[in-house]
Amino acid sequence: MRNSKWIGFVAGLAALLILFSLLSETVSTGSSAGYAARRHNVLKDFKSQKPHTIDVVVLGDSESYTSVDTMRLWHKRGITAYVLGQPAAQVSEMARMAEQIAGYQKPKVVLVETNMLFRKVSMVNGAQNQFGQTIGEAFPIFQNHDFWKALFVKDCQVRRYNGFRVLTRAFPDTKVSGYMKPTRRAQAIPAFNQMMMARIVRACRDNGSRVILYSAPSTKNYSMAKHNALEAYAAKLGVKYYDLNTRLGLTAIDWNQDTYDGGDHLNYNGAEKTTDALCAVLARCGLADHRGDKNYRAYAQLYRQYAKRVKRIDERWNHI
Amino acid sequence: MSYQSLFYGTLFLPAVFVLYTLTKQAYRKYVLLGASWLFYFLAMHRVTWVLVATCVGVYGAALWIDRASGRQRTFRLTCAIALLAGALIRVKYAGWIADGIGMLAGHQFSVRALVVPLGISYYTLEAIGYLCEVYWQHQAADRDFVRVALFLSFFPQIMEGPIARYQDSAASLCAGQPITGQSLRNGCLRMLWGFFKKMAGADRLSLLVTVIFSQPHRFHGWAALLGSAAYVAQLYLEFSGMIDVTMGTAEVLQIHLPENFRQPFFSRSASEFWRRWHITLGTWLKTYVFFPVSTSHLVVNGNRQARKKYGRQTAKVWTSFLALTPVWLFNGFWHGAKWHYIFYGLYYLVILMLEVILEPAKKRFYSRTGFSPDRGLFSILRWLRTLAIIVAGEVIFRADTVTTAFTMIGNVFRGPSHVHALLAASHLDFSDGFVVVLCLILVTVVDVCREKGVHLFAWFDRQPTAVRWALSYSLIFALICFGAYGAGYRKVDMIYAKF
Repeated sequence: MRNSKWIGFVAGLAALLILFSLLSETVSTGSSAGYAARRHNVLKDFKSQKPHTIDVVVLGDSESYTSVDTMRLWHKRGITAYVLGQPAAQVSEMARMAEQIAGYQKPKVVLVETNMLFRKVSMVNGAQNQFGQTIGEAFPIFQNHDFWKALFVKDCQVRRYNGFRVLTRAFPDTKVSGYMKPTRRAQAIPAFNQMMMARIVRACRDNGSRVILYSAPSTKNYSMAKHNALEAYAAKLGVKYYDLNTRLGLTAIDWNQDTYDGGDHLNYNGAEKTTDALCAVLARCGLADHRGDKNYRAYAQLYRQYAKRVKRIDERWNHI
Repeated sequence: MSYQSLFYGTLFLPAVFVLYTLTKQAYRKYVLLGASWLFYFLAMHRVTWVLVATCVGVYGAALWIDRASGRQRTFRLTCAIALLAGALIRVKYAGWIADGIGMLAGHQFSVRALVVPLGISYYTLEAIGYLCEVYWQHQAADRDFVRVALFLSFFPQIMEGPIARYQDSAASLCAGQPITGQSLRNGCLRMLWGFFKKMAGADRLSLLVTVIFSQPHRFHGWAALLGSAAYVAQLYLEFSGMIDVTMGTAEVLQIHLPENFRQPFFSRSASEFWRRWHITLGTWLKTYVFFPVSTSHLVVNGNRQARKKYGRQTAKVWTSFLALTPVWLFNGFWHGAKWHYIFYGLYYLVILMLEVILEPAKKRFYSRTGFSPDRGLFSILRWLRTLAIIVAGEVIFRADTVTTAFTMIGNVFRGPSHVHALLAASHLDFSDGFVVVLCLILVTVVDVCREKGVHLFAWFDRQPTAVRWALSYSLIFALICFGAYGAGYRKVDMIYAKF
């Protein structure tokens, strides 16, 4: 009798987990109130794109969606790009995303922003995170647990253009003296992250995509020791690596104007410059120009919305 | 691995409970020890040897002390404590001491930083306590290695305590009591409550606290006060919450551990606060520092002479000062090798000494006016004064330096206050605020019930099954939905685990 009570309790719990999972999925769709919902919606939006129309996919943490301006890539070279990067993303999370891409798109290039590779994670912690992600996929309530925020927050739409986030504020970094100071030291990349990165490369190659690693300019996140480590690691993986921190002459980043938060992330200005530098890299990958192609009308339309918005920003900055 | 990880809650802990139940009573202690060392290995990897070596060393040292008598006994105890304290000092304080000596000598000494083994401050105190009990012959040296090892490394208490005394918990750790329906129900309920306090309340408040303590000069007035009070609330919710998780786990296994909190915010004085807050550290300091010092020849003789020369009250103040100074210096220093922790200890020393000095005047005042210190207006005023003392103390405790702490306390009395800017910078929206307030209301209600002697578990047990299930499901889903974890939230480490 006692055991049957416990079994009843656990069965009830499982039923409620499923019920809440369904509820959270329903509420999260179309809402951007909770953090999880916003994260969720980027992937949903990506999956809803016309099949096999995206040429470039960008993976990474917040450095990725603040450094690649997808609309500028379209405008300048007719390249279709989508940033799947997420705030504070783990490499394991991006590995799962990379594996999901194949079902929807066949991008020619997958750009991977490298900052997440240095996120501290031991093999044990990594395995635990993987376990958490598996549970979260089985019961989406764990991923969308803040779905109830939709009851409180109605209007906090974060405007993104194929994953790119337009950040308008400029908060200068005044202490850049030690940034990229020459050294022969190499910072260790955690073994678990290397394992997950290898998974990304494997998934992309299986999907016919070419992987390119890049480091977005950031005084807070990059150093020469990281550059050295990434150069060696890219060679080991057999992929190209572009460090935009060592090519500041090329990008012409001005740390007084082009950063949103004192050197950590780039603002819209900085993203424009970084995108131009990456444009030159992508030009060598033989990507087609889709401007004028009827199948890509949606991009032209999205670009018009974007252009209106950035025009206002440019006017404001010029005014300042 | 940490207690609030999904892996611990859904895999590790249930696996331990199942294995424990399937094992014969006599062998259950081995399951617990194996689980404790596995937990430690998953958290600390190679450093696990330090814990195992401590267990072996303490077991041997107790037997070694027990075999000797007279001065030999004292010598052996001193050696054992020196070794334990030496290991703690080496990993935790060596850099700070080297910096201090270097500053005095005008030369910079470098000490290789070592990984600080998880829970070293807790199990070292427990080990020293056990050895002292053996030395005082309150406790015979235990010949069962598993019992000693389990006492020092029991996994639910290794990260934040409570700091148990050997005679209080060792026997029940090895008793292998079965998990019953009631123990499982009550234990799980207490764990859930603890997780709710930590994940829904404390982890959200940490966003606000991080902002204000990382920019101490920026916020003034109400914003500074809100940030300081938020830290006090965060600390209480997180520390008492994780202690609830520990106590809940022990309750499932029918293991007795001492309580660490007794509604501290109902205190009417600083000394009462310390009898209700981190009780096991206070008990340890009282037993192994305060009593030995206050009963030492130096203090006893000093007290006698002072009483003859200057009267009873002065002698009391003098004796209290001599006995309390090492207690509060130790308390501050135990938290870490930083000046603000030592200042935190000295802050409470001064306040407690003022309590002792002003005691006769207060007694005279109450007897002449006829007011009661425990009722009406004076009771409320004493409560408010104690809250102010606690908040100021915790600001000293949390700030990076003593100067920063004073700046922050001073900022409370300066304007203008930008509460909206503080909330915006911490990325807490209205819904987060709602959860924090809900959590604080629930915690207050539960604490009031406890203070009034209402036993909530007994009340819960009396309810029909449907009500019990509904309450349990509500708590589980409140934790899942309102917990600050996953996307958009930073993982917040346990505050007291770093000590």
